[in-house]
Amino acid sequence: MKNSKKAYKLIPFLFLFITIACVEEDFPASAELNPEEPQVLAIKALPPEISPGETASFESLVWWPETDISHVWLLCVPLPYEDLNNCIKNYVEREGELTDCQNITSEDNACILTQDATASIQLDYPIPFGGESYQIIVEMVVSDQEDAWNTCQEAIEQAIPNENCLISGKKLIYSNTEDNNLNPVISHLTLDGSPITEATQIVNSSNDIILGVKIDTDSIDEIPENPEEKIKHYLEFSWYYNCGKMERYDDTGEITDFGTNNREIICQKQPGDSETECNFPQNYWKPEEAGNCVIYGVLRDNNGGLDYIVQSFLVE
Amino acid sequence: MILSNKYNPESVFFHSKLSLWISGLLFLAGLLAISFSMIKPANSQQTSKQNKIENNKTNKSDKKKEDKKVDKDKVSPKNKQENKKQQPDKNKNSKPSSEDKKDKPDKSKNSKPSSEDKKQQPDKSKKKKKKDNNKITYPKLVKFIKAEYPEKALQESREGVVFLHMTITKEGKVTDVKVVKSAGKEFDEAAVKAVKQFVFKPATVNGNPVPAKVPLRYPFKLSGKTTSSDSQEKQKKEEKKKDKEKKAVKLIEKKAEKKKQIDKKQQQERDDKKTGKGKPDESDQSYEDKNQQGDSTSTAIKDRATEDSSPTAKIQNKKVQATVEGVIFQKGSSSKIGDANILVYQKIGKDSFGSLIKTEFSKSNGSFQIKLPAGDYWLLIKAPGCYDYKTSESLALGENLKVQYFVERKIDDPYATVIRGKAVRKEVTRYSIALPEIISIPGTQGDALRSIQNMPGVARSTFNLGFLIVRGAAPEDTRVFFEGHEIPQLYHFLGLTSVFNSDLLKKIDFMPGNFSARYGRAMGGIIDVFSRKPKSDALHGYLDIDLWDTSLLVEGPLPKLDKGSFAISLRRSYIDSVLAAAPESLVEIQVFPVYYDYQFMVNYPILKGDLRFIFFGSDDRINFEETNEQPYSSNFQKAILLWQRKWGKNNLKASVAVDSNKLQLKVSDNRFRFGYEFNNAAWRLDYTRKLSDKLKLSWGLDGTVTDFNFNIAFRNTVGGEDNEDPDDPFANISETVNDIFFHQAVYLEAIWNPIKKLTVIPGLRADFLDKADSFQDYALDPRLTVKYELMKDKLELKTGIGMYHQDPDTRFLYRKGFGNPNLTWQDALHTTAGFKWQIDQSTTLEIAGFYKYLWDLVANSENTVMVDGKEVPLYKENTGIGRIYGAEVLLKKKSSLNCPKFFGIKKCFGWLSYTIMRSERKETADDPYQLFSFDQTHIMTALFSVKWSGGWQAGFRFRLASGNPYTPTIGGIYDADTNNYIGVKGDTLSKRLPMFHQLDFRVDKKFTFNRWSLTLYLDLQNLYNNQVTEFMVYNYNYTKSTTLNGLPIFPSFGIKGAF
Repeated sequence: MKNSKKAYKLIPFLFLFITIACVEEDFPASAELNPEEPQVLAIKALPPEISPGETASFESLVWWPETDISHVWLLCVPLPYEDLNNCIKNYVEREGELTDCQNITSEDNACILTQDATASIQLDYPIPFGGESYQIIVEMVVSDQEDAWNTCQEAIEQAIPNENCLISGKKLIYSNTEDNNLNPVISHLTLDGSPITEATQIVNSSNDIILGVKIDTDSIDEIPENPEEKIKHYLEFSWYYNCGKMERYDDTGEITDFGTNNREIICQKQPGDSETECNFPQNYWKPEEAGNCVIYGVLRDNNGGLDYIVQSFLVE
Repeated sequence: MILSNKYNPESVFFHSKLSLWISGLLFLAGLLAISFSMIKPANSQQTSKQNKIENNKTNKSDKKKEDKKVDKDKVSPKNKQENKKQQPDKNKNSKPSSEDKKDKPDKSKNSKPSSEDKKQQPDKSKKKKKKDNNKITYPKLVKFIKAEYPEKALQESREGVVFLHMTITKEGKVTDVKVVKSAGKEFDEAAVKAVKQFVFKPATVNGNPVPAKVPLRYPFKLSGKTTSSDSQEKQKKEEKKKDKEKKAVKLIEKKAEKKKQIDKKQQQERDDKKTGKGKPDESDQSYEDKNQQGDSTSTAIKDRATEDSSPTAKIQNKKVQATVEGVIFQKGSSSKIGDANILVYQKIGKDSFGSLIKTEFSKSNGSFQIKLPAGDYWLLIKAPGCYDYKTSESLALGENLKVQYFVERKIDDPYATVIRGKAVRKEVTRYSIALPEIISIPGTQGDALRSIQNMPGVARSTFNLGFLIVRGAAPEDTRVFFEGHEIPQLYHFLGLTSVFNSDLLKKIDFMPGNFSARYGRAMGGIIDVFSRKPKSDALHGYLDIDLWDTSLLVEGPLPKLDKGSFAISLRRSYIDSVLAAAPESLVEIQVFPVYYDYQFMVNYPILKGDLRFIFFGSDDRINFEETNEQPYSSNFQKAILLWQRKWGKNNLKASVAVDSNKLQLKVSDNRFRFGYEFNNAAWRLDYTRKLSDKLKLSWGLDGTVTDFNFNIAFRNTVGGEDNEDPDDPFANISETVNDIFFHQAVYLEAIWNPIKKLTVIPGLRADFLDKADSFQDYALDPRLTVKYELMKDKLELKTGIGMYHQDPDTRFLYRKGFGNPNLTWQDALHTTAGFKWQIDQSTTLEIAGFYKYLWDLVANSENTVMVDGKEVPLYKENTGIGRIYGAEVLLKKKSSLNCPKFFGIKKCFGWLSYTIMRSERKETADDPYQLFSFDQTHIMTALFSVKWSGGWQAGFRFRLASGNPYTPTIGGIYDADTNNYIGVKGDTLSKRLPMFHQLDFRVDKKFTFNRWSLTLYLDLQNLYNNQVTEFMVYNYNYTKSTTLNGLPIFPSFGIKGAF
């Protein structure tokens, strides 16, 4: 089977169509977790969208094995041309230094939220720049050192991550709308179509291991029970694993990104349908070696909603 | 007394082919007939000889009748036919009319013979003495003036031969030049003008200068013989080289001549026996001369009397018994060769040449007809630029032999090279590309337009994608025109090949800067591509099949019409199939480009000009093998109707064009969509008029109306299907724009020569542009070029300065397209100074230094603006500033015979181009200058191509260029919402990719058959498999990087059959 994920990686360049064979080194995909490459897998906001006066809390899923990690959470209200990679940096260049968040306002738009493993935020000012909604950046920096702030202050201020400091972020939707988005919910993983109920699932390396995921369709809040017209909603599920290889198990017209073994689906419901169609295709996992393995699954919608699941396996 | 002589100034003035007659010896009808035969070697020759025989048989007392006949004949060869027609009547009138008698004394006033001479009776004892006294010398050219090649004919690569009669006075001046056979008005005029300036040493009779009437054949050939001193030299060398070949022929001719003389002697003896005369035939002629002179006032001279008194001549005088008719083709094609000289020799034995029987020229369509008595003959065909062709024919009594002869072009054929007239170039630097040589450059796969990438000032495009980066300017700053109308792209996607068949092109003008006021709305360079007229002599075409695509061309005369021509060309790629068939282990490719293009052209002469319709188009798309998706597609169709007329130094060209252009781009599963579609209606008028010898004016206008559609969409996250709905709720941004634009420009330019060596070219261009609702503005561009010819035809100094405006990219004029509606013109000042040195006849050196200053460039902006009470990003502003400076060197050896003397090389060409430059930009005036992303400090191309006999050709191209600057990515910040990393950029353009170098090689072998040719070729790119770094690529979180290399050794081979 051809490895089409490489082609997708080239799409943004277009003209590189013919040169895949010319790349000297084939990098491992982000889904293939290894101890040398720590990475942030998910940041979850609870809820992903708030209105003025409401509170959101944040938690993270980080792959940094055998290491105690420390955190720094920051808040940044971006200017129109700013994004995750320059919001804090520009603020520091303008204002000089970051301080702890006291009275958060849209003018004083960058500050340190906390150095705890989780963070929470309550916003109580008008939507910035006069719109109906605005995306506010919550930045999380994790470090393998004891004090993330002291270790990573320069990296944070210059927005340049390094081997001790991973910088990541998420946008909290701050809006005046009444019907705010909620996180989708993973119901459970499946093994050969059956729900996995054990905390550590035992599998045989010689068998074909077919993994799947079931979504709690009730959590797809944009899809009402009785829609008057066809409703659809995008979801993406990303697999991460620290053993063996994973590939797509079936190809039924779904489109798959390069490198992540991501799965994308459109959850939809026709008027009169009793059930929401929201089924992810399954993946084929080959652990290769016996031992303990972990598989992470992250579910995202296209409005900042997120859920994740961690499943341990014992490969025999 | 009129002396007539035929000579060819193209060869050496009075050459072996010189044939002449003097009509002073009116009393000798037979000699007169021979004289005629010298002038008109075909039918008239025979007729005159018949006359001679008849006259000999006739009672000599009938001299008056003959006198009258000859008297008329002497007037001009043209009258010969009339005389022949009149002959029976004259025979009826045994006595000349009184008018004739009256005429004679008048004529005698102009001739030396006295009245006493006239009264002298024939005295055999004095015959020989008289003959000696009648010593005749022919006119000798002492001053030759080369005719100016008609500009129109030159541009259309037309050739022609003008047949003239001129009268040379006793003083050696030329008067009364008449065109006997026209080659077209412009050729006729040029030939007459030149010939009138010839100066001769006059013809003499007995040492006394006499006027002479001389037939002249003046050929206009696209070679140095008449258009270039270089080619003259080439011709001389060619002649030297061919001396050996000629010697063999001469030897045969010499032997034949010897035999002929023996035959003649024997014949004379036989005649003497019959007539009872003891003197040779020459004495008879002298005797008759004397008698003629007695009554005549003019002299006819025949320089090959011996031939005509030979048995061969007598054979010729017999009734025509057979005909050879046919067509002369250029071997390997359907081209017919006009004006080929066909020499008919008597065949002696198996291989020997006998005497020359006849000479004939093929018509412009290559056809000829020769009437001959039955017998065996050698036919020797001499055509310009071709090897001599020899064949023998046996003609039976009454036979009408139909033949086709295939004459092979010489390898050093000067006619295969485009020779350009000394038209004044309006630019300081303009590189015109001669197509025949350029298409065999290695690495271009026979594509002339790709050869532009080898020109000085043109930076190497990453992956050879075909971006035209001219003198450090962005690709979008260089405009590409086809017949003066802009085309959206010059190359197919990835620069694989150009969108127009090179074989239908006439020339390509590349102007890297300081271009003429004829062009506008560009800050970089200009490329103007011109089509050629489809061939009209016969049906031509080819099929070219290579590894990546196949192209087909058919051209020829318009069916059922007596003039006009057409061409159809198609090309279709099959790279997708080839690569898909390759083993995965070898080529791991998932996406394939597919392209095709087509051209249709009709040319029809009308209103003293040429009306041409050109319809052409191109289509490119990228296919994903696995999903069968097409993330990229672009296509355009264009129709141009143009009419062009040239007369003298004046030129008028008017054209209209319509086109349709479309591009769609879908990236990352439709997360980003971008597309535009626009349709143009354009018009253009260019008029050049010569006002005086010192001043020529050019003015014109060009305009466009554009219907523009533009759409752009960003999707927040991935989706499983392509949703074209502009209200797509899953697209963060989905915008469309529909607008009508209008552009009109006028320009005026003068070419002024205040003194002979100085050329001053001031120009002014005005553009008005109305587009995108917000942009309605004028721009005035004054420009000036000055040239000084320091050494005639050797060294020319040149400099130029000019203003250039360019409107912003249309999509940047819309806020919806992340632009700013308040953007205005971008400006540039071009300055160039340099020289061109003609080192020798085939080698030139051009050096130019340039400096360009750019301002009001559209640059990214971080400022915001209040729109409808909301603060939004400004995105773009006219705050950018740029400067580009450097120098270009082009050492070029054009295709010539002057080649290294090894490995049997017959012909070669090549060049070395080198550019050193620096291109810098800054976003605002307060920022420091930074390298521009297209800056390449060193760019060098060396190429050399050689030809051997036997159809072999090979060449190499070596390129070296600085790596492009790039901005390193020094880390990645994880965006948890999109599950992607945002790259963190290091210092802008702070690093460079490694230097690029590559060697390409190409070899061709051409097999030439009678009516078609077959060429096999192999084009190897990156011969030593250099791992060229084209890009830096990173892993998913930008913690690791590696290089993305260019193509490894890349072969292309193909086969081309042409007719």
